[in-house]
Amino acid sequence: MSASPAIVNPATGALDLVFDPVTRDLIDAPDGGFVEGTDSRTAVLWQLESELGAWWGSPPDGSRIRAIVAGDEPATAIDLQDEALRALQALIDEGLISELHVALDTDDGGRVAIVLAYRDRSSGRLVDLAYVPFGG
Amino acid sequence: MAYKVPSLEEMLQFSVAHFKAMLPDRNVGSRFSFNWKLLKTITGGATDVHAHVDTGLKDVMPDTARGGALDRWIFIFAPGGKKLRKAATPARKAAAGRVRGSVAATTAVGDRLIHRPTSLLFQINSNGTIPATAGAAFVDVDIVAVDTGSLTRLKKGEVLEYTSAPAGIQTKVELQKDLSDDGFDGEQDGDAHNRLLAALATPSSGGNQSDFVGWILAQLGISGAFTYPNRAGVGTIDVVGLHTGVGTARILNNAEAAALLAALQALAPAQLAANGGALRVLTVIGGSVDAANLANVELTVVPDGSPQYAFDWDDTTPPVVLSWTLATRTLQFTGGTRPITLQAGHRICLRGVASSQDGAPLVVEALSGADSVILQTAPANNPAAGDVVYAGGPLTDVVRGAILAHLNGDVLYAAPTGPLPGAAAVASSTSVAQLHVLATGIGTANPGGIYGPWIGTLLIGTLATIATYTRGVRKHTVITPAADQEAVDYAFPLDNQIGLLTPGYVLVRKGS
Repeated sequence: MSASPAIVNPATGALDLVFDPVTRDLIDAPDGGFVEGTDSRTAVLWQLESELGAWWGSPPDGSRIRAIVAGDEPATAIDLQDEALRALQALIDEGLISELHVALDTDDGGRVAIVLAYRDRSSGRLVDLAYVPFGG
Repeated sequence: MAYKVPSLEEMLQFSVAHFKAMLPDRNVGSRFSFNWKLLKTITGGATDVHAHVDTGLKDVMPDTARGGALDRWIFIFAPGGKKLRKAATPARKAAAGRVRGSVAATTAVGDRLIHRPTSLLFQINSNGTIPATAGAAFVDVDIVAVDTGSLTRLKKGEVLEYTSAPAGIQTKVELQKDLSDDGFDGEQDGDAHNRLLAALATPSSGGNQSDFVGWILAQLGISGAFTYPNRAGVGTIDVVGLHTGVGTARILNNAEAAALLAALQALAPAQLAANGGALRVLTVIGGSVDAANLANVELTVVPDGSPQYAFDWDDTTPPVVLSWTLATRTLQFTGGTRPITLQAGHRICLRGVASSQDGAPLVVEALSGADSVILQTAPANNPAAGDVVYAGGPLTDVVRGAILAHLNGDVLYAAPTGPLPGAAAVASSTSVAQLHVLATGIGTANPGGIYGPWIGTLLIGTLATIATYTRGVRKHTVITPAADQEAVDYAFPLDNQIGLLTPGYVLVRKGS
């Protein structure tokens, strides 16, 4: 694995492991390790994917999206959008992302996808990301 | 040097710093990064191992072992010859059962009672005769459970029935007090722990004083043990066992004393076991049998000026009782008036001049007329004209409770909040591991400490210590007793008896 000194934040470091947004698996790198990225996509994915209050390590983090999709809570698609906004506000507060927009779409199978657009603060890039709560 | 067990947060900080030092280009600065989540998870595992090791260290040392580990220690060392904790105990209380019947009818120790709702069995634990007093065809007798465990801790007001009522005695016996002495489901950690440490500190040596103490404490239902070597002559030993309890409820009944003697004879060296007079279980004489063993305390305290410790009302000129009406719980004062500062909700304490009072605070439910008050609950004994009324307050409850606990054999710990009785610590799950002992509980007579290292005396110094240590007390004066009060160490031919101080009245009032 190689690091890019130009984009490493000396206070925190920058490289984080990258997960496949569909399979939620780590992605194999050619050097035998796993792919690492310098933006906040992993933080966004895990904030949406984790169950709010379920992990002892950081109970305030996570979202209710899994519960909504599982039918544990009566909800509509709009609630998914609201919940994504609420959960990702923590990352805005942390200074990881900004300019967040959340929209809803459906994939070819008719499943709801959450379409995210935000600016990654560490790289300065605008990111468009489709998040499918049902996973792969 | 002992290893300082880091907290979860300290471990996390260490791990993050370690991670950043080794892999400076990885993001671990935000709790949203995957690396941080991974480290936190690993840290949780490490902290759990730390906690496990820490608990294991405590369990392998006898002074900190608890629960199952303490059971193993007891099984290995068998303090008092018993490999298991003491089993459940029966609840008991002195003068708790109101027996009604014809004048001169009697009930005796061992008369069986049943609690119908639970089918639990109880028995009378003191002999009683219905007195000829007009309007009071009853006698209050001691009650002890035959069954054991916490279910036998019946509340005041519950009704027991004789399984076979003696002649002239009514079948139903109503409890006047909670059966709150003893009645545990099994030996508590604290008691078992103390027995184990005592056995380890003074290893068995074939019948020394500590051996007898250990053997006595290993008997079911006995929480206090006192031994008198050579009291009845060289080579003899007299022993006493006491229950956990209040006043005379601590004293074993005849059957319990006989069982204790039989148990000790099976354990004692042959020359003691075979000789009937060389090993004796003494008959304990409390204050209800010999007034010389009645411990009365009157103590004045001056609050430190903080509002939360002030007495409820001003008793600079204490009112005097003119009359008492039990039916309405109305207490009338002399002089046609009552103190203007005395209001509903305030506490009063009675000093029995013409009646027998225990000094317990009584709450005023309401004012009545110009010179009377109605009490929330009637005192145990009817007040009489001439009794004096003093103010109660927050200090009354704390100081009086501590003195009563001391008199009833409980340990007083020096808690940050003030004197803390051992039973109160257990009830509130308060750890006493780091607390100093303010005063040990009073045992049977031990004049001048000649028989061993326990206190059988009501020491003015101890009362002063209790008052001084109570938060909110600026100064105090011990009025009664005027000098240290020894329980009676009866001489021959009554030397099969030993005195035990039991509480009479304990009056804590405002001083000046």
